[in-house]
Amino acid sequence: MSYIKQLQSNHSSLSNSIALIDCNNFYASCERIFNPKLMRKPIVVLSNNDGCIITRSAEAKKLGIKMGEPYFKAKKIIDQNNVKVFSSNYSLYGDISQRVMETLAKFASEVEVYSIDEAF
Amino acid sequence: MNEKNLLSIISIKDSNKIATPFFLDSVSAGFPSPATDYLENKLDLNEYLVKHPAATFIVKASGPSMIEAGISSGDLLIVDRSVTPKNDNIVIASVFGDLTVKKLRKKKSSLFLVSANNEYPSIEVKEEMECFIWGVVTYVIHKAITK
Repeated sequence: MSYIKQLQSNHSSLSNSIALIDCNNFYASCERIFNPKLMRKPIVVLSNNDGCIITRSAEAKKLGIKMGEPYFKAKKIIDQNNVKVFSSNYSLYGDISQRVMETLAKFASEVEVYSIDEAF
Repeated sequence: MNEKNLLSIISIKDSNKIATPFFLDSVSAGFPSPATDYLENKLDLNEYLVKHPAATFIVKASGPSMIEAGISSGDLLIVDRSVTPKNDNIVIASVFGDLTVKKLRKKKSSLFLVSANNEYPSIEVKEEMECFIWGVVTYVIHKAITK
């Protein structure tokens, strides 16, 4: 957010600027909000029916777990490293997404929501 | 001091506004002013309790550790995460990953998380502790009727 403040102070150039916002490993970050124990721990979030890994925290990425990898293929690394695994909780992610977009709306004259965790 | 799962967090439901007639006089224990029959204002509780909807969560308190601060088990706490915590604020703190309600107290250069119940110990926040303030409690919703 400090970057946005910097932009605001330089107001003349702001009128023509477009910012792209993309939340860091969004689903994992959402899970962390209400469970601070998960901070700095490797976590992954699975797709519907727990098929594939769709979000990895930075720590999980470091372990070599790949984006979109089927859960069963990564299970060995996950078990060995005590990676916390979550089924996707879209009502939570949707709620947090709405809060993010609402907050962004305060900083820009126009916001185009591009996905659950991205906006222009 | 087993404070695990002390708090559960409830998200705020988007709903229509409910404007409740609002008495402008503050309530005293005497004869009410006849002027209050002419209601001038309506109060929407969401608007009153939630100043920053994008940053506000409702947290259900449990346990008696904050009883002297007017927070009983089962009370709903309105928690604003965008408010900067100040001395003497009631806060939701994360201590070693557990969320807990405490009063924030600054004494000289030390920082304490104080319970409002003598039977519960205060916690001195030390640098090596994994601790941060999750949010500031702005309102307490307490049920006044007990059966």
